[in-house]
Amino acid sequence: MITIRKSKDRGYTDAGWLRSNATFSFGAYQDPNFMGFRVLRVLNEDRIAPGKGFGPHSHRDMEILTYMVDGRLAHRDSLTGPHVLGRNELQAMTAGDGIVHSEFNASETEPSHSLQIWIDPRAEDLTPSYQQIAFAPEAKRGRLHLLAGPESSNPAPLAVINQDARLYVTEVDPGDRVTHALPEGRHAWIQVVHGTVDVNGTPLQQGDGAAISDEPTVVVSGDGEVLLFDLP
Amino acid sequence: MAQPGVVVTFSSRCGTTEKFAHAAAVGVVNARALPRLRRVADDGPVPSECGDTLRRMQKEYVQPTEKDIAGAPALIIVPTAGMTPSSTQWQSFIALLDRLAAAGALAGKVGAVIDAGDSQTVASFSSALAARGLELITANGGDAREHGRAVGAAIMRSV
Repeated sequence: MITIRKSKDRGYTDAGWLRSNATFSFGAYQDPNFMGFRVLRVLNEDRIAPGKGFGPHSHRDMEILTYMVDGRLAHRDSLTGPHVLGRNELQAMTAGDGIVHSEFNASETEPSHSLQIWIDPRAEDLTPSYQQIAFAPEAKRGRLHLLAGPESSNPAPLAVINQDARLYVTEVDPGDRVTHALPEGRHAWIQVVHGTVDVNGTPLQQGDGAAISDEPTVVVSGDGEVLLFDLP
Repeated sequence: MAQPGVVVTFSSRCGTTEKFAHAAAVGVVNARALPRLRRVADDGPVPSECGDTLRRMQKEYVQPTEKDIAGAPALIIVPTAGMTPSSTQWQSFIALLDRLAAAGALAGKVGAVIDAGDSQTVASFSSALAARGLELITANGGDAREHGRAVGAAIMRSV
């Protein structure tokens, strides 16, 4: 079963310096029908004006991932920093029992475009941590590249998250066909980063999402980039 | 239920005291309360080596407002070592507390002063908070995070 979440139906916030589309309820946008999917709690597509950003604020008990679509984000937190996150990089932060961080567009001239993802952790009061990984653009071409999961991988750099969930990225060209097996009891969320793709026969555009359950496989084709979440 | 907020107000030009403020804020989060970080205005010359840090903080933080303080059940003050409530950076904030105290808006609030390296500074700001009716919370010699946790725990007990 595939349930589509159209891009245009997402929550939308325009704060001037921030234009944000929320796939699930977040902040002022609240819809009881879209409170998340499985352990995936937040999926925001943020466009931040040059030099602007989120000042220091706190989080608790959440696995927070940031995937850059375009531009660069400067990050500081109560553990480490500063860090700058760019294209083909992923940031993973375990908020655990408490963390304070800020995120700003690192450029004074170009906007940034990123996806922020919150995943419920397996337990409360974990030890906070920060990870940042980079990957070669070729690693996602025509195949799924694992970005984050519950255990460290060898040899690819992988962000370790405190949940039985995995995040993959793929970039398909016309003629590519990327398949992911979904064992019984597992679910998937697809988020289209850019382009137009087909997922199990369903066409999706940039910004669209899809919840997938009770399907043995997820098949992605078309011309675009997709995040695939494999969820308990 | 909304999380009770703790306004963490600090002075910093080179980032050292900012770290104490962050640690206190993390303690507040540990206690499941919600910190709001605010930075008082700058005054005086900036050490040349601090220019980038100061510009960053000027971008990242806003100053505390009456609405911030009036709406929070707790305040944490993180003054730079060597400062007093009469220091230029803190005068506006103390005046803000005076206005709120006169209006009865500080009644029932708790407060704490974080030691960023000078016990005299802590003593002078603690006196200033107590004189304006705040109940002081201490963490028995604990660090900034412990203090933040103690303040957070105190307000969480009251909700």
